Amino acid sequence: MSNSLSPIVDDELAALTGGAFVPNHTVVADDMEVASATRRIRAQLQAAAAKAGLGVRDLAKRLKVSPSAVSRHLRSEGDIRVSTAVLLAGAMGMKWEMTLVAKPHSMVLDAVKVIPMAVQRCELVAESSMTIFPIFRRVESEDSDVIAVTEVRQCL
Amino acid sequence: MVLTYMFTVPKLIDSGVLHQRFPLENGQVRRKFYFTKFWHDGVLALPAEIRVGLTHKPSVRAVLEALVDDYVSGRPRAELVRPKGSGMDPPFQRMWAPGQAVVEMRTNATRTFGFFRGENEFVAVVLATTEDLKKRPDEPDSSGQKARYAQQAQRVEALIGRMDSKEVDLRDVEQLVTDC
Repeated sequence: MSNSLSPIVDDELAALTGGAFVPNHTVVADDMEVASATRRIRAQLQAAAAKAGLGVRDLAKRLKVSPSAVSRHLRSEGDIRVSTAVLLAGAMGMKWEMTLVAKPHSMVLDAVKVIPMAVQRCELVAESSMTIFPIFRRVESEDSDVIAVTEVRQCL
Repeated sequence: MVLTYMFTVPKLIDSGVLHQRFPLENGQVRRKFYFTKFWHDGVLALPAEIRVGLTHKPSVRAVLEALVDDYVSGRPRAELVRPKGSGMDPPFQRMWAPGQAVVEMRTNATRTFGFFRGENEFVAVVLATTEDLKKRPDEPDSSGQKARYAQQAQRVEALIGRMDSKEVDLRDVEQLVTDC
């Protein structure tokens, strides 16, 4: 009975979750950045349409295109043309302010091809008053074109 | 008499069964996202694409990673959940009864099945591709597709069954993802 009272990983829990593990995530920086930007552009358009009370049919009517065309552009996850984004925003009575800003990690992300997402779990993370931020440590690999980055999280 | 231990998210984190996702860019965690090994393995199995040339179609994996990153980094709620019926596919959706404790986090190509622990705290349990879930050409109707969705939901419900009841929030998703 003592085992059933212990918060250890039992067989049933392992079968439900896969068990204990250490994450070894990596993301391809360009891939992630493009996905993130295109997602945010569409999400902003969708949020603006919802705020204005405009549905797909309303936008289609204003743009004189089919509802399916509007839906396809809003639901797609691939590249979106600047012209499409501008026209959709215009149909909502809005316009894009396009500006370039420096990346928060420009020194790192400009250089890397692959970013490990493995998180070194910090025992202090649970404390709500903690400020958590990642520090990236560059580690040159044998392939000079690829620089691995180890992410170390530090708690203050 | 055998007493079943009811788990909490902090206990599962301590056990290494759950891990927390942090924003990729420098910044504070605005919303919490926990994931299991099953979900993690599912993500690793998705294709990632190396850019070639000056245009790039984001991979299935990058699209999912971007959604998770937007969630944890605190992008506006309106970009993550919207009232139903807008025809624009909000990423977070609660499943229909009887699996309503389960929440789907959707991209075009993936379905993450999990549950909300509370406001802005999502636990991702399993990941499936829409390709694997969708109706197959040899199936006469959509009952097979429904069964595959139900199977994923049952995996989440089984874990929920082992969780302390205070660890699962059944409110509408619209109330559980807030601006922060």
